[in-house]
Order: sequence, then structure tokens, then C-alpha cells
Amino acid sequence: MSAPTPRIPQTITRYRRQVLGLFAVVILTLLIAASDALLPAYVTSTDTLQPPSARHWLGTNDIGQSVLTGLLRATPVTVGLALLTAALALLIGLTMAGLAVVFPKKGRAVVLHLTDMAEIVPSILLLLLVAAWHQPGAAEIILLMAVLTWHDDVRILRSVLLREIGRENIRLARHMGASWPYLLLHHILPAILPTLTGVYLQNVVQAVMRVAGLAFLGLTAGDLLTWGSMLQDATGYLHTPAWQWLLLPPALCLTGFLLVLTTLDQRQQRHARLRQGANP
Amino acid sequence: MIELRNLSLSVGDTALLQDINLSVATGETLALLGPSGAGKSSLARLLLRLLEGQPSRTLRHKARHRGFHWSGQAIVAGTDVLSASVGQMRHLRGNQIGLITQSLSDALNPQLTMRAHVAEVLALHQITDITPEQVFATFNLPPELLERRPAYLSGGEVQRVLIALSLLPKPKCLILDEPTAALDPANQALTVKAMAHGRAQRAQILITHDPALALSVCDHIAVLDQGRIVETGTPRDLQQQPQHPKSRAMIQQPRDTAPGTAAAPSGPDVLRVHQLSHSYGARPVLRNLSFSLRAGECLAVLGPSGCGKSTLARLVAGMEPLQSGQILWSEATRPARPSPRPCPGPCPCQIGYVSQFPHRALTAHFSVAQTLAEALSLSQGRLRWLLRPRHSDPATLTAICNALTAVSLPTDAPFLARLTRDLSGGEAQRLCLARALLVQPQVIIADEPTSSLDQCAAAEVIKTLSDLKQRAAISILLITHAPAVAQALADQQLTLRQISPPPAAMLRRADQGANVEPTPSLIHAAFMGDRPVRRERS
Repeated sequence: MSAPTPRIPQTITRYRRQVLGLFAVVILTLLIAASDALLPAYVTSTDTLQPPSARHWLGTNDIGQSVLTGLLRATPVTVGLALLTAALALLIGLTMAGLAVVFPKKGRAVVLHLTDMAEIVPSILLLLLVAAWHQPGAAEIILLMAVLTWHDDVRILRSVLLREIGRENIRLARHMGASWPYLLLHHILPAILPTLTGVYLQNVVQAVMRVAGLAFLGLTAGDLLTWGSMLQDATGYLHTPAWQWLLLPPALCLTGFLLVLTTLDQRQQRHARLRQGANP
Repeated sequence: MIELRNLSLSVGDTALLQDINLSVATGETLALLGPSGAGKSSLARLLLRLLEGQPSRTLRHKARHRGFHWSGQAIVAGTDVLSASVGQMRHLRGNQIGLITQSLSDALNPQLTMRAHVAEVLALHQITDITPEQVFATFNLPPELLERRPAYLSGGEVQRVLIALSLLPKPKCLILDEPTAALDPANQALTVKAMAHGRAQRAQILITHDPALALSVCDHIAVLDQGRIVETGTPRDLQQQPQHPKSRAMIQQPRDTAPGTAAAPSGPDVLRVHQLSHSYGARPVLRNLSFSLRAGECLAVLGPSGCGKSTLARLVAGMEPLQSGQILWSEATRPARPSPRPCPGPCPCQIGYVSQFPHRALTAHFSVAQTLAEALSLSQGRLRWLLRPRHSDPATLTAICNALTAVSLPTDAPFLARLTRDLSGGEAQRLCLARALLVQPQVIIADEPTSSLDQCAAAEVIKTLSDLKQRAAISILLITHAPAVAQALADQQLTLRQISPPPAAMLRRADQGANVEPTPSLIHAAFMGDRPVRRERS
């Protein structure tokens, strides 16, 4: 039997999109890290509560800080907080779901009872309590919110994992001698990736709202500049014309970001459906 | 009622169907006959717009687009389905057009019982004058199936339930996609009868690779080759004077003239199954089943659908935990090289298992080459957990191509790079077989390996299996419902009978007609070794 020797698939071109995505992430991270040096200083001045002008494009607040500079500085902090919180929550959730699946007796009981408890405790109250007691900085917010919200994902992730592990291809590969780590990395993770992305985007939406909420209530550290804290600063001037340039810009930023996330979520779902394609 | 004009369908830059012109009037049945992988099922899905894709003219870069795209017109029940809106399609589906899919896909909801499925359809179409029990009686389905979920139905039963469900709303057009591929002859006859139920009131397109079925039930036959219709005609014309060489090959090919197997092999036993019983919940499937398999021998297990054939295959392959009885493997099937990790379960790694549902057994996001490379690396024990299975080195590539050639699949680079989810039922089935071959198995357990293949491909697969059996002394446990396949390959045949709920003898040797006697000497044996064993065969 002689077979024609096929060409080796072009791996570089196949992964072009992934490589581009990696570059984009690296550049964004660098930009965020360097934003402190790149952006103009967020300093007080004597021009308090100035309406938008050529000098201050979005006006100034009650202590003469430029709203535009504030927005630019708050954006990476707010977005970064949300992304990291969601990622940490997903990681904890996935680990817990994995434990529940791998150890079907004890692990499952422990994880599901923990989840039940976490669901009964009103996490937003707990969050407020802890935040009021100890005004958290960025790292503490991430940790706190991830610990208080991981339980949202556990049940979904567990059922998805169970479904994948019960599939015949996994059982067959296991039977042929594949190890669990290999199966997890190459068979299961790619298959549940659409679900993971969907859950992650939902987490980000939740996290943005929670971070904004905490800051709006003034429960984060004073020097942590987020869209939520800018909204909180604006509340004192609702009865003056200043609300137009103090309240609207951060509120619009928040809305825009949520809109982007929702659109991404929908596109992602459509894409996943399309990829499932020819054979159900 | 169904009219296709200049219909073309492509995936990426490969054309699947080109310039299809067909018309089927009410009361007519047209058979679309073609080799596996010709785009028959894609056409069925396109006519219901279940295919994800878009019209060709909206595409800017046809070559770079990876999904399906189409052009032309397809008028079904008075509507051009290719340009219909989502709302129109939703109205058409079920009410006007019915689709019966290949049972290879999971078309039933795993969470619902059969009664719930029927009730759902009855409620959707506001049919109130018939109960689920009456539906099952009309379509010759045993009433005890009503309370079961799809996982506890056999392939044939699923297919018959699907037919009943799609015929309930009395559609004007019906598209049947390989409705009998997974059925045994008795069930096939029942299904054909169900299909004939009220066919004067509707137009039917029957998509099949089985010329016998096409010839017996259809008014017209269209033969598909390389995406074009090469010949149309009545069954009589085609049977007597096929014009095109391809239709001649497809229709007049004698059924399996594979040579009768040589003298019965006299190798040692490799597998001995002793007093095997299995039940799902309270429902017994297998009871006190005993048989043995010698090296280089093929044992065919036949029986009606739902009698536990697939369960037997899964038990022997070690895919399902053993409930009672013993499955004993000889030392010869243990891998020669020390395995890096002991195999789970009692069964050795050196077996190839070919699933009845090929798409379920393949990882959807793997390409053809990756699937095979993984099996090869696993069998050689050199798969490390972080690395993907590599298929770029020449030795692996040669092995992969050889395995693909053995099951008559193409070996060109585009095919190797295709994802398994984009393969047709027949291609996936052969890929599963190729994967089983790569493991260098001592025993192959093949569950319906030819059920969704056209005759040419099925003959190739049978030839491959019989070659393996004779040259490499590989034993084959063949599960099939087609007596022709069993006759072509098998040295021994075993016929299973459905267990009726009260205890009854459930097993009968096809060649002897006697119950199989258990062999007490084996009860405590873990492995057979060289000990002489009493054979219950003549």
C-alpha cells in the first residue's frame, strides 16, 4: 500500500489569530502598567467645577481635577479589576467543579454543600460589611469579590464537565490509556471553551456592577479611582448644572463597557453555534 | 411539491452538490442514491434550513469562508426555503416538511421519556384525538418503551420513534435521511411500512446508500456522483439498463460476493465470555450468555434491535462495568511491552473498539490526522500530557495514511485537516475503524461497522476486516443486524433474542438451536493460559 505523502499543515498560519490575540493582550497590559507615567497628573487646581472648555475637555470637579484625566485613569483600574475578579472567580469555580467531578462521593458532597452555604449567605451584604470594616484596595477587592461570587459558576461548570466526561470519546480515549491531565487539556477544555467564555463574560458584567456599586457607596479605599468612585463624587452636585459633566461621562463609560461585553457574549455564542456546524 | 432548481451547495471552496434539478410531486417518492460523504445529509438539512451557512452571493471571499454556502432555488410546499425568513421556516418545519434524520445523530432529547416526546408533538400540533399509547400501537412500537428515556433505547427503536414523531403532524413533504441504515431486516420492513403510511398525501425524498431499499419503495431514483445527478429514472429502468457507469456500479453490484472464509482457524481462545448477565435497572438485557472467540476467528452477533447486542460489545470492550459473569482474556492479548500505566478495568489495551455511533466516539474539535495520531501515540505509550499528538513526522504520517487507505478514505492534506465534526456518517464510521486498526489490536470489537456505508465502501471495509483476520490472525467480534455482512465475514454466528420480562431462555445458537451450556471449570479462572477447555461448538 503506497499512499501519497501529504503536506504538513501550516501551523503558524493556522494559529495566526491566537498569536495576534496574545500580542494584543501583552500590549494592553504594558499600556496599563505604563498608564500612570503616560497620562497627565490627576492634580487639584483652582479651576473648580468648570464646565467643559478647550482647556478641560470634560470640565473639572469640585477640587479642580480634570474629569477627562480622571476617566482615563479610572478606566484601566475599573476594567482590570473586573477582568481579574471574574477570572479568579472562574478559576475557583472551575477548581471546585473539578473536585466535585473527580471525587464523586466526598468531593461532591463538600463542594455542593459549600456552594449551598455560599448561596444562602447574601454575598452583597457580606461584601458591604467587610468593605465597611476595612476599606479595601485593588488586590483586596479582587480577592474579596472572587471569594464571595465563585459559587455562581460551580453548578454550571460541574454539569458541563460531567457531560463532557461522560461522553463516549473521552471514555474511549481513557480506555486506550490516555491520562486525565492529557484528556483535560486536549479533549475537555477545548470542548467546554465556549461555555467557559460565556460564564467568564457574565462574571465580568457582574464584577463591573459590583465594583461600581462598592465604590459608589464609598466603601473602597479613598485613593482607588474607579468609575464608581467618580459617580459617587458627582452625587453632591446633582442639583447644580455640574452633574452634566461630573455624572454623565463615568455613567456613559460604564454603560458602554457593559454594552461591549454583552455584544461580545452574543457574538461568542453565535460563533460557537456556527462552529458546532455540520453534524449535531 | 418539492422542486430544486440549479441548487448548488459548497463547504469552503469545495463544491458538494452542483446544479441539482429535481422535482417530486405529491404522492411520489424519490430516492437520492449516492456514496457516503457525497453531501446527501447536508442537502436534507439544507431543505429544512437546519444547516448553518449563507447564500453564496452574500460572500465576499468564498475560498476563505469555512462554512456552508449555497445558491439556486429549492421550493418546498410552495415556499423557496433558501430565501425564506426565519418565521416562515419555523412555520414550515414540522407542519409542512418533516425530516427523519440518520439515527447516528442524537435527535431525541435525553431528558424526556418517549411519552413526553410524543405528548410534546401532539400538543404542538394540537392533535387531540389520539393518545401516545395509540400512536405507539399505530407505528408498531412496543408500549413498554413509552416510559423510557433515549439512552435506554436501541438504535433501531430510536429510529422508529423518530419516524412516528415526524409522521404525526402529517407533513406534506417528508425528507428521510437514511431511515433504515441502523435497522435489522425485521425492523427495516416495519419502517418501510411506517413510511408508506399515508404516502399518497405527501412528497417524499428518501436519501439512502442502499439500492435495494431505493428500488423497492421509490417511484423515481436519482443517482448522485461527485456532487452531480448523473442519472434519473424509474427503478425498473435503472435496474435493467443503467446508463451511467457509476449507477451501474452502485445498483447492480452483487451483494457481498466476498469469498467464504477459509477453513475454520484452530488458534487458541483469546476471549471467553462466561455466564454474562446485564440489566439496566430492573430490565434484563443479557442473561447467562457464554461464548468464546479463537484467534483469527470472526464471531458475528446477530439479533433484532434492542436485544442487547451493543451492550454486549460495550461490556466486552470494557466500556461498561461488568455486573455479573466473567470476561476472560488470554495472555496473548496483554501488551508485550510494559505499559507505562496499567489499563483500567479487566480488559487489555490491545483491542480496537468501533462504536455504533461514530460521531459520539470522536472528539469533535480534533482533525482526522490528530484523531489517528493520538491513537497511534497512545498505543505506543508515548503520549505525554502537555503535548498534542504530533502527526508531522514521516513515520506517523505513513501509518496514518496506511490506516486510512485500508478503510478506503482519502489521504490528501485537506481531508487530514478536516475536523471530525464535519465528516459524514459514513466517513466517521470508517475513521473509527481506522483508529481501531492503528492500535495494532489482537481483537477488534466492531459494533455495526458498515451500517451507514454505501455498498462500495461497505465491501471495502468487509474486505479489510477479512484480510486482517486472515493475515494478522486478528479476532473480530462483529455486531451486526445484516445477515449478509455476517455471512461474508463470520466463522461463527450467535443470535441473541430479546428477553421477555418474565424469565425465559434468551440465547440460542444459530447453528445448533440449543441453549449454550455454561462451563463450570472456568468459574474461578482468571486467565485461561494453556489449559484445555471444553468447547461447546461442534
